[in-house]
Parts: sequence; structure tokens; C-alpha cells
Amino acid sequence: MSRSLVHALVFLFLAGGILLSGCGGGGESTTASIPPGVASALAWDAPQTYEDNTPLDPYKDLDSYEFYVRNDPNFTENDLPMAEVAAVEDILSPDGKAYLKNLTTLFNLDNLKPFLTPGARYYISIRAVGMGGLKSGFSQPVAWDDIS
Amino acid sequence: MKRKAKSMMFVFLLAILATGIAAQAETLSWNAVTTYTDGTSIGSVTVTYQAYWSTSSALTNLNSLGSSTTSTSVTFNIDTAAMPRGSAIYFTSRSTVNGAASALATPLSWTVPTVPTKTPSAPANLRMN
Repeated sequence: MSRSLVHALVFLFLAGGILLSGCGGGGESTTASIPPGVASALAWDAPQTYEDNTPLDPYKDLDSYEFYVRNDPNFTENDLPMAEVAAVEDILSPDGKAYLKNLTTLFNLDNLKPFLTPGARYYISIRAVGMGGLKSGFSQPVAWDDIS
Repeated sequence: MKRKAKSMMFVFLLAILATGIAAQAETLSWNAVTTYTDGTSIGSVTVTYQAYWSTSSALTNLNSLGSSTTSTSVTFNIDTAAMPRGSAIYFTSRSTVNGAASALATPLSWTVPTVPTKTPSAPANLRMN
């Protein structure tokens, strides 16, 4: 099997998993399953509103994101985050003369691997933390089998 | 017919709702009006309250915060009401009985919180790349 064909199959597999994660109406039992050996980063869409549906500017109203990992998808308020990243990062402008604000919407899963057991299935969920310190609910979890 | 003006004894209390509540809101409350300005009792007549806020301690350019009938509080959202975060504003209110309105209550000063005390929605479309 050619390398390009393998990549195409992997893409289709991933796309299917992502599509699955968007279905199900937000129920906690619906998770996307990612095939082993594929996932290397976690991505998400920044919230655009508060829970009361008033607008939220993720550039100035969000402080950070917290990452939660469990062996099941039943995340609770008692869970502790395994990692945290700033919601906005400063990146150097193309001309190198200024810093630009960039929304953080990607997380390298390799950062979590030292704390996890290879071969086990894990579930990951994230929460947004507002500038006032209030945390969002848990995102819909995704399953992760790629612990090597 | 003797026309009675109304007196109002307002005690304002501001409360920020606890964290974790879906719709973060603030509540302005006051004591109920019980007498007219001549000291006689209002009795069971319906009292309507209208709450306002202003950036001026002189209560010029009043912005309506909401009205209530009998209820002695109004709930509002800072951003929806377009209150200036980090600045002082002044609340006041007046009562109306049978079409006759009271004077404005003594203003209550309040500094609008600079940081939104609201809960963000959860990140969406979590996925592996």
C-alpha cells in the first residue's frame, strides 16, 4: 500500500471521528474515537459567548484553558486539570517588530504522555477560564488511544 | 381631592450572584414604599417602581434599568445595560402610585466591575488533529 494511500485513509478516519464528535447534541456519552498512532494534537473552537448567551471576546475575556484526562468520559467538578495553557498567546509579527495576539486553539498531546499509561484508553475534555476566574463547563470529551 | 405625594425610604443593596450560575446577573433591590409624604399609609394600593442608572451623581441622563410592580428588586446584566466597566455609576429609583410619581431616591454609588463575572461557554468542537 502506498504512503499517500495510507495518509488518505488516516485523513478519512480522522475526519469521520471529528464528524462524529459534532453529532449527538452535546450528550456526555458521545465521544469521538481516534485510531491509535494518529493523534498528536488537540484542537478546539474558542467560545464566543458566555453561558447567558451574551457575547464574549476570546481575545480579552478568556484567561486560559484547562485540560482534563480520565479513563472514562464522566468528568466532574472534583477533577483536577492535568495541564493549562493561556487562552491568548503573543506571536511575533512577520516583520519582527511587534507582537500579535493569537488565540490558542491547539495543544500538543505529547505534553500529556509522560503522565499517562501507554496502551490505555483515555478521555480528554477541556474548560475555558474567564478573566474573572470562572470556568466553563466541560467540553464534549474525546477518546484518545494514542498513548505510546 | 387631597393629593398625596409619596415618600420613599430606599435602602439599596447590590448583590452579585454566586459563581456557577448560568446567567450571571446583578440585582438592585430596595425597601418597599409604605407611606405617602404626609406619613399616611399607602395600604394595599399597587406600587410601581422604576429603576435607573446614570454616570452622573446628579442623576442626569438617566438610563432605565427596568420596572416592577410591587416587586422591590430588578435584575440586570452589566453588558446588556451597556454600563461602563471600571467606572462609577449611580442607581436611583422612583415609585408611582395611581399615576403620581415620587421624587428620585438618593443615588447609590457603585463601581462597575472591570472583569466580567460571567461564566464562559464551553469550548466547542474538541477534536484530535
